[in-house]
Amino acid sequence: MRSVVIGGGHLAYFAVTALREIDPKGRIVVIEFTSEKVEMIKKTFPYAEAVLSSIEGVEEYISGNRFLIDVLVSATDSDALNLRYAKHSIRNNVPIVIAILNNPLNEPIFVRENVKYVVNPYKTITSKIKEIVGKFEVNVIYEFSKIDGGIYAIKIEDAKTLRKVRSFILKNDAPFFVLSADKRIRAGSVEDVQIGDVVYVSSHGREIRGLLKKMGGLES
Amino acid sequence: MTPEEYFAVRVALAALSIALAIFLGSKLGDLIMRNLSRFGRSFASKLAEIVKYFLVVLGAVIAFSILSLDVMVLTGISIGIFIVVLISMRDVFSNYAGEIYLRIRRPFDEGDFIKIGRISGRVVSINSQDVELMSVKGERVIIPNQFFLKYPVINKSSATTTSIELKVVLNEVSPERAEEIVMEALGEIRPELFEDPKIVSINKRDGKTEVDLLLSTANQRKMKWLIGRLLKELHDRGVEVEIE
Repeated sequence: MRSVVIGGGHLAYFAVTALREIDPKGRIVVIEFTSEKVEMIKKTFPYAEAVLSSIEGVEEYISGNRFLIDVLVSATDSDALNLRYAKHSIRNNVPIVIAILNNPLNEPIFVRENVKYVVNPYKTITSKIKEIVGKFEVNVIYEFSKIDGGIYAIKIEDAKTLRKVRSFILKNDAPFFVLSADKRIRAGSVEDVQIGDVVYVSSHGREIRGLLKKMGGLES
Repeated sequence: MTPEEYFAVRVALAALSIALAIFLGSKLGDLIMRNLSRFGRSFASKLAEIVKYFLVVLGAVIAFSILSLDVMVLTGISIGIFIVVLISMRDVFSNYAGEIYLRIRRPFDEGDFIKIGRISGRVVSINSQDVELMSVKGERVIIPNQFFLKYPVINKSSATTTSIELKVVLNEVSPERAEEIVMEALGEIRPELFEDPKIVSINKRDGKTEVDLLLSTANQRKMKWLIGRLLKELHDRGVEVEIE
């Protein structure tokens, strides 16, 4: 698999490492704008090709290799550049285009511009803090990239929530497991869910939003 | 004025009213397209079409009232017109039905890579009458929506990779040696593939060794280039080879 990563910062570091893990025999090209960083990339990732390019030159590189690039990751330190390169790659029909955000508030702009795969590295901050503090009604644990859905944690604090969650699981045949108050993980019948448990349920986004609405306008 | 002359005048007036309705419909349609296109071309063209047909029907009704035909004749003509309109616009209606299907069922979205019949490409836009694709060769392909009601659609975006089966025929080489050579050549193109290539089978036929391969890539447009590279690698190893 030929992957192209644009940028040589810390976002690109994680992208290159993941791509190497996915396909150890694949070809990875990292494009950077400064010669110092190119030298550093060569040392950090000896298996990758480091290419020095101007900001404008990246688009030429993408156009010239559009028939060969399988995955393009736009991971510079600038969201404006990431958006520009992602849009250019989509126009050139690169099959998998991933943009990594620097500022999570820019996510809607990428979505509006038809960039299908946007990675928001800050997304886990909210769910981690909620989980650690242990005070939440609903916690978005993970959202799938290819479908509208994910894994959600729902804290059963009262009988009303318990009834709604049970009904939701039964109605949607949603896969779930339970983390009980005594920190045990169990999977079983929906009847075993109790007040004080945290239910981890996997569901389509549309369905979970419906449940959240029923539970009284909780965050989605 | 004799009754025949009176009838001829009425026929002329009826024809005039239909002609006027068609003329007005066309002019009004152009006017709507010019002034309402800022709200979307598709919306403006739909509205222009509706106004045009409404005026034509209105013209026809006026024409019939001028002719003062009896109810039976009028009903017969109305049914006839209805059938003619239905037949002549069947493609338009089935394209609208196709649009409704695409909007409700959503078999694909803009940006997805799809295959319908023998055509494949990336979806650029989904419109009221057609879907615009960009083919792998970069050609703009317009597919009427009714096709999506008739033919199966493969949405390739849901699958990350495209796999192709290849038959490599090696002359005057034993199956063991053929496997060795093909694996070496595949090793050279492996970095460009999505996953390890697979040798599906090796058969000896008429003195030739046939090797069936499975290659996977995320970029479908790379296949031709990959086959070329594979051929070159095999030739470099001094093997006479054909690829099917």
